[in-house]
Amino acid sequence: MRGMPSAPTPDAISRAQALAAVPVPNEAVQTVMTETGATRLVFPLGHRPWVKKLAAMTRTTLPPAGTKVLELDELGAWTWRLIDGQRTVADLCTEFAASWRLHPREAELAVTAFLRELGKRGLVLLVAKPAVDNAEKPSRI
Amino acid sequence: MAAAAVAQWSWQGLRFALPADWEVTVLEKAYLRADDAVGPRLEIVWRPRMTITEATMRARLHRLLPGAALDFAAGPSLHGLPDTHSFRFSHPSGHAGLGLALELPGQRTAMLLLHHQRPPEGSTNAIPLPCSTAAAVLGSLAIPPGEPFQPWQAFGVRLSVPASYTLQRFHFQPGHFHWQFNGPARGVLRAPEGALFFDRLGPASVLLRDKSLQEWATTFHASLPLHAQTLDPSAPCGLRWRAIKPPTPLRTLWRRLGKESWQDIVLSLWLDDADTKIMALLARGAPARNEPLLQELCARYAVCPDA
Repeated sequence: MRGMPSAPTPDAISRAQALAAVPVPNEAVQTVMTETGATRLVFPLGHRPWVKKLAAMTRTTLPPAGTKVLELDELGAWTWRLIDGQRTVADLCTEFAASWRLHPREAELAVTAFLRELGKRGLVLLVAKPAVDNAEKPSRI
Repeated sequence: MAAAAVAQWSWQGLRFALPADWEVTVLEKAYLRADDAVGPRLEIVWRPRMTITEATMRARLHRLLPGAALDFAAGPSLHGLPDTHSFRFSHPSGHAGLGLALELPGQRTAMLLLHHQRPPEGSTNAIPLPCSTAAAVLGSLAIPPGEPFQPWQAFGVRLSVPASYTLQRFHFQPGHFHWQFNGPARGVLRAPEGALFFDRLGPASVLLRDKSLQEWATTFHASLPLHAQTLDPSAPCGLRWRAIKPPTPLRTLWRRLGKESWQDIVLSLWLDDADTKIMALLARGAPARNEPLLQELCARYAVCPDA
């Protein structure tokens, strides 16, 4: 809305909170380098919820659903290598902008879009940076 | 302490600087909004062909700020923009701030709103912007003269176009910034005399991995006649392709009618000073045949990282 900006909803994550979150790679993801130098992420697939439900109802043990491969481009591979469970999203954006000499806002959009794609596939988990007084209890955002 | 104004912007004839912690979150042809960590801080709404009078301004503000009380006597006075109408606004909900109504070259106007922070729960007193922040933003406002070039600057890229050219479309995607400006309508058919397309792509090292700039151009601009016959060896820097059809009586007649041939093209490509971005300027129609104009446009098109 123009002129009278609406107040943010209480549940919305602010940009500052999102940038302060720490992307943590899924431990089940294997990083494979191909002969051509490309980076591939190999990750296990999960069964669809209805298949799981059906298996639970029929007390059937499901076989592994297989794996999927995601090939990253050069920028994606570079960013993936930096995701170590320590750096925040803001850290990644800053390093990305500095290394590739991009505008900070451009780097932020690129990195957050990449993380969103990884998050959709379950390859990373965004963890809110623990506050000083409750450092032992990070919460998922 | 308030952050210094560092991000320079030129948009639709208005130049300003934003503090480091403000981000442009909405950008349209005629609307810009910048937020800080707390919420919206700045809004600018452009309007073509509107004269600012007391009545038109009040009507416009009534739509922009419904229900808000306006105080024109208490607005800030800007020495650099003496003819600006300024005001303060406040809404019973606690939403308040400063506003300016600006007249720009090309019969355009802009309404600028600087928002105070919303009041905390249970209060209706807005938390004002720090004076230094408001002063930095208002002090940076400038209206560049309209002729002969209109400057544009956004996200660390600056360029200029002839003052009669208007922004047609743009996008700022990671890795690819794009602007298209159309020329004024000419002739009986009232068609644009030409168009200018600015592209900034990067990182160049990734895009040009196994290719030369020339090879890359033929893939990026696959629909253009980029071949040895059109390659211009006299390009001052970078690469240039020039495909101009020789004038014939029929073509001249068509041009006079307003049916400009956009098949006349000049594409200039070069790397920025740091060799990290590919800069492309494509001129179609009348500007493609204007060599001094093209050289001026190339010279004014550059990457200028924010301080």
